[in-house]
Amino acid sequence: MKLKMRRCRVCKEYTLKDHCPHCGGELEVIYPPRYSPEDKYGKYRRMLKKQMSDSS
Amino acid sequence: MAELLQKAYGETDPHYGSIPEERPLEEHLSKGIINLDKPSGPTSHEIDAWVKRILKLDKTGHGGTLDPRVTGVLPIGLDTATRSIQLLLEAPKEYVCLMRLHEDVGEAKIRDILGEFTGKIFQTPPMRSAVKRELRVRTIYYVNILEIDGQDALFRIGCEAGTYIRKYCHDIGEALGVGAHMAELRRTRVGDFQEDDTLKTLQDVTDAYHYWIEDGDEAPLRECVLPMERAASHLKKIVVRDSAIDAVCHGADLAAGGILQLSEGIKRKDTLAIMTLKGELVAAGEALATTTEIDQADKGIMVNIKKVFMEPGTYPMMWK
Amino acid sequence: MKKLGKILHLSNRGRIILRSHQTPALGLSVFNSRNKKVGFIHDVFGPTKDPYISVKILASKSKKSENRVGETLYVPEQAKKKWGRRKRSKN
Ligand SMILES: [Zn+2]
Repeated sequence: MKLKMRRCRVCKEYTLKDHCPHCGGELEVIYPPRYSPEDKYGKYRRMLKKQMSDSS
Repeated sequence: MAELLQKAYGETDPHYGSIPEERPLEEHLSKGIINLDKPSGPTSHEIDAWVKRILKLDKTGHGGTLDPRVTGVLPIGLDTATRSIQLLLEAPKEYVCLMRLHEDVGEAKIRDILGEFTGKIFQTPPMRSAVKRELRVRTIYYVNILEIDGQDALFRIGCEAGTYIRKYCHDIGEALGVGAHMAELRRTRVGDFQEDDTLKTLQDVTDAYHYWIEDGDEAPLRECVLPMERAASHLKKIVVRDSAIDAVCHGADLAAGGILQLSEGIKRKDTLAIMTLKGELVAAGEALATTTEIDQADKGIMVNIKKVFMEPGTYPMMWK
Repeated sequence: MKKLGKILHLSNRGRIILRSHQTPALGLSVFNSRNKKVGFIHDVFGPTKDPYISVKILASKSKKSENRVGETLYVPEQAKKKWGRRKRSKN
């Protein structure tokens, strides 16, 4: 089933629309990523995170 | 702490206890709470177990169960702080809910019915819940309608602990006659835990732990864990003298002489958080008097201590 | 017999929905003006001042209930009216 709730990246309000009706801001997916206790790709995620924070 | 009334003056000895934000990391972890963004799928209990495993702790516990498919704010108490999470069970909650009606009734009717279902409402727990099915009264503090799109209504709802949102939607459907169900739900607040920078995913917590163990970097983990005192943020408070703390830790009721500061507006039977001058959570108890009465009293028991969170011996024993 | 309220509608789940100034106990029998039992209290919900009542219709009566909107229903006099309110009255 397709989920309809989104949230504005800017004003953080929830909406069903494609753009924020309050400020016109871009929307973000609100649901946290799935997690598996094995977390197979954790190592790569952490490497990527570090690269991102080092380059910024 | 905001605007406390000063009843008496006192100082705190830096040799005992610790300012919550300045605890060494190991202690911070064992007295910490994670403002976790629960993913869809696992039960709240499974989330506890995963956090316990990720951080290699002895104990964890969550504040206010969320159904498996519901996401959002799920505070997780770590080790010593596991008990303090009990304070959140009674705390007000906020959700963003997408309700779907089974027929079109028009926007005006949806607005009217949500208005009607605000304030004190009757609600029986759903059949499949563990709670006995009997009539209960719950307070809906506010319903802010965000959008209505045909048969879909998106709203933010602030409610008393123990309100079932799925049942709330179902009941509105029955009241309108057309039927309705909760299509999507996300919790956005439990007491003082909300959807802000402190809200972390299981991935965030996992990564923070690895950065600490593998690189010795404490910062990400500190960012993921809040002091357990946050579980009492929504409660009215009483700050006590150092000399009164240990007796309270042993379960003794709190007398007027030990009180230094207190919140405005305390009523009898309110749940109060007992705090140190350093801002540490000691215990929770039931108010036996109002703010004015407590402020004016020089003797007598003011708070009936119900739950103790601080280890006895943290502060020196000054009582007989 | 005591007046419960007038039938508002039949919900899409087949329950009689009405509004009442009373808070009848769950499971209490519900009667029509001819003293015939039509069903029992299934649920009480919504605003405490003026709650909605959902009545589960007896299987034998379910066919006829569609034309009953507006009809007044009744509950027995000795209903334990305070039933649901008692516990939380101190809050
Ligand atoms: Zn916006």
